[in-house]
Amino acid sequence: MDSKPFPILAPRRTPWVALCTLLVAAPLAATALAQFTGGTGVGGTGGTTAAGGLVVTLLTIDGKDPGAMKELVGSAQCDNAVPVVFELRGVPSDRESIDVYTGDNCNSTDRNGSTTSAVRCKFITNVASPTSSAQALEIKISAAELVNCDTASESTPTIWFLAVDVTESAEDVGTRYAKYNKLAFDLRAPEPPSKVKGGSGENQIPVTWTNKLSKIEKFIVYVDSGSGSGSADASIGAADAGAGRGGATRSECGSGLLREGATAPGENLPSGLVKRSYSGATLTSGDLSGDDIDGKSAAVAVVAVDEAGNQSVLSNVACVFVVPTEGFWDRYQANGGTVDGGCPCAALGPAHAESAWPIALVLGFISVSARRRRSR
Amino acid sequence: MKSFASALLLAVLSQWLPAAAAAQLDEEMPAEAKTYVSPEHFAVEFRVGPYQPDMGGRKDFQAFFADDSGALFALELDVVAWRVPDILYLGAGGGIGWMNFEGKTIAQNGQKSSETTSMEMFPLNLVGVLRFDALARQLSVPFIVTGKLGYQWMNWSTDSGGRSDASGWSVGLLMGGQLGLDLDFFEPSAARSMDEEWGINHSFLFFELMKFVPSKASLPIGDLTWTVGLGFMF
Repeated sequence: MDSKPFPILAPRRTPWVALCTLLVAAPLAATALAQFTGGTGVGGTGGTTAAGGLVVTLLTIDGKDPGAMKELVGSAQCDNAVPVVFELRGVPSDRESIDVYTGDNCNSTDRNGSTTSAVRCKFITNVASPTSSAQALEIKISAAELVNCDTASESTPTIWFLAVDVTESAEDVGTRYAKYNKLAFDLRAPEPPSKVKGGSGENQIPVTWTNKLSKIEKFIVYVDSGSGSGSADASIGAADAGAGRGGATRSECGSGLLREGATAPGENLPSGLVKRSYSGATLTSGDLSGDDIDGKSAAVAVVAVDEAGNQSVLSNVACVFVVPTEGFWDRYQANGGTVDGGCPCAALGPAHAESAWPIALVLGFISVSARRRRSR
Repeated sequence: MKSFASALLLAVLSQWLPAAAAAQLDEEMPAEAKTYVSPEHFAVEFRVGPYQPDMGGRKDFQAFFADDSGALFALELDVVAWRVPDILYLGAGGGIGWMNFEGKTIAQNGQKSSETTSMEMFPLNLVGVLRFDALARQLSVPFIVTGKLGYQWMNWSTDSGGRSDASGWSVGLLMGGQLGLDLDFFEPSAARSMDEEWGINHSFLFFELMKFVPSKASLPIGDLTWTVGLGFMF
């Protein structure tokens, strides 16, 4: 069929280009709009809530960017009473100080229970007002003061910043207050991963587990080589073959350091214990290296760590085994397989110079073809 | 200007209307529009198929990767050098592909361990292509027959337990025979629209038998295998 260009009906892609542009641009615009509205609205992503001209922003949690921490405080941080720093702007200069409370409706005059004796709010601290309303005021609060750290629960306390003349008084602050209700406390430890199994290998020893957990950030595998009594015998391979990846199911490599349901070891690991972290909410396995295991076997247990940094207790204890293995290349070479007088060959060797002729042929072909097109 | 607007409207509407309506538009369309064919310079083929290197008859590959057939995913772009209208194309092109095989290492007791051993291959090739489409264009038999002959450079690498064992290139002849099913035959109006809008002259589904014959100095990872895929002339 001859090529007969017909200028009026040349390929028109404009409608498609427009459609594709729309498909790409629409989600971007929606995202931008969502960020815009979230960043400026009351109680939005920006972490500010304004009332009566006061604007409060969460600056840091334990000295870190709150956005990176998802504005979450975990059990360990609560126990350690880490500082939570807020910034308050627009503080009226005609008020002596700022009272900080936590609770419900703490802007009411009954915040201290003076009229109904039902104390609804907890007084946290009092900070002197800045000399000018243009000045920002930093307020540092201990995380432990905002909730009861001994209670394994999830909560989002409302923190009130009241511009007052007399601290802890029942004065009516009107609209001269701000509140913050985006700082979440997750003091509940996650469940540990279940059905932990250890595998066998020489350089890569997998540990697998069942993961039906939510809000998990990472998993930590503890390896105890010191007290393992298992041995790499013929039954390991058989167990693997039946259970697939990470199928070593024997449990005779006991551990004096790892016990199911026990609290995970802290930062200072006892001698003989190795810790490996694997980040990912949906992980169901992690690979140990041969160097992680001292000897031929080790006991392993897994801990789940949630987004707030809370650690689960230890999972069931499983065994991993270090066994000499043979991969494809080992077998190929052992059976006399050679390549080009000796591999690994990382690039084309002299013996492959013969492969240059097709390139020359094709380049010549393209050259002749191009010349023909030009001469038309 | 008016005729241009009319032609534009007809072309856009033909995208959305059912075949019956499109057929009606055919009758109303200017004769020049019916015969419009964009230039053909290239062919592109997307393919997938199983692959199991024969390893020159050795059992090493099968011992580890017997359960894994790749698959081979590949892309080929051909340049049309010479066209005999409605009969054949003569061209040359290049292809690139990828495949990965995974298995378990074997412990000394002969049982499989939990450790992974893998082999990854990237075939690169240059081929001459002779494509006959006379059946489809002259006789309305919707088949396109294609023969290919070329040379392949297959990069390979293998590792065990996350550690690299070896890597290299296997080079050798590549040949293929393809039977294509011309899709223009089933929806001519859609085919014409694709040409008008995108410059795609023809599209086809294909089944291809291909054989890679590595040289003696190369790792014997050749295979006689098949692929299926979708191709476009444009």
